[in-house]
Amino acid sequence: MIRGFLFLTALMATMPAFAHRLVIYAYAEAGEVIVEARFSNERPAQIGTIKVALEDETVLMEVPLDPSGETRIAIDAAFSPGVIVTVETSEGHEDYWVLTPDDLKEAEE
Amino acid sequence: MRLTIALAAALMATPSLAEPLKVTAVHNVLAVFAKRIGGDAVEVKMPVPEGRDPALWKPGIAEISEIQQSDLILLNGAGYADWTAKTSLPRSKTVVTSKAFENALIETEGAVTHSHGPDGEHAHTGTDPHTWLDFAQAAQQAEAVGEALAKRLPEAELDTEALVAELALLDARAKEVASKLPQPLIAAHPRYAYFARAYGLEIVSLDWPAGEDPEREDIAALQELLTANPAKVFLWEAEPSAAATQVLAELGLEGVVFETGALAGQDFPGGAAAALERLAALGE
Repeated sequence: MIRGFLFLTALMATMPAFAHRLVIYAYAEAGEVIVEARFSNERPAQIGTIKVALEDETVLMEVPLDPSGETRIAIDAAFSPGVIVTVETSEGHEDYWVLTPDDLKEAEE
Repeated sequence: MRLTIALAAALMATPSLAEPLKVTAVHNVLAVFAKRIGGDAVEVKMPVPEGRDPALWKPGIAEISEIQQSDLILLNGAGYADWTAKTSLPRSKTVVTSKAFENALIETEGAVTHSHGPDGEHAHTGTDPHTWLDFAQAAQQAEAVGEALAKRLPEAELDTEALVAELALLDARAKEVASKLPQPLIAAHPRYAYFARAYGLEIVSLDWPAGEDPEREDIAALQELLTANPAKVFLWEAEPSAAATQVLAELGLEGVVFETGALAGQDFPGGAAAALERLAALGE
């Protein structure tokens, strides 16, 4: 194979992580951030962690994934500037979602 | 009093005195379309700084907040700009301009992960997002922009037809030029899949970073490629260095700069038209 082409087909065959990808969606409702974490094959992500961080990467909170694929996190006042919610699973998948101050305001009780 | 209120209402309804519609476009091509069609009735922003690739740019929280406040958000679709799938954009304000041909998108093969330029590591995987380089598709995207503006600015004078007509001419010219080009063509970066498909071209894509000189192994790989695929034309997405141009000349390749138009400050469709004329000269 020509070196100039960086296709990693062989690598894809040996690394299951490339076979499907993690997709997360987060929203704020009734005082909580709700994080939905599924793989592209629709299966819920069951083992891993959710980090809620500020834009400067200060981690405000780290919680385990709920095996149902939907994790609820109580909104803290520190979230108000907006947060980046990152999910990392045990198999090395990662995805993130950005919640702006307006997104979080929608959850105010 | 009633006369004053009625007069104020009438003045506010007049498009020229109403606030322009605030439009955010995910890349420069859609920003150009919105401005061409909407004129003074729109205030168009493409928030990506000059020199940065809008496909790879990651806005900060404040930038996303500002985008969420737009009256209209124009997205390319086809997976263009990962950030658009990582945050909530108001559905009622968002238009995916490639929806009309969403069943005709090109899937890329393999996962190519690498790092170059200020945007760092990225992968060429999934769907090719450069849909507007098929100029008939670009016309459909322009129509989508026009429809979105017409819906929100029913009283404004919009000029979708002129832009669509210009893109139709570009499409016709591309067909004409492509029919005479020596094939295959080589491209420095995988950007031209839709252009290749639309105009019957075989374009073999390398992965050379724009604006950087090819390394020794890149040149060796190109030489090996040319042995199996004798080519005469090389497409650059940005102006190459003198050294890179010299490398091509020594390999018998003629370089043509064919900007995608997506970056801030680029000219579309003018830049594409100019690239076609340079290609036309090579096909004669």
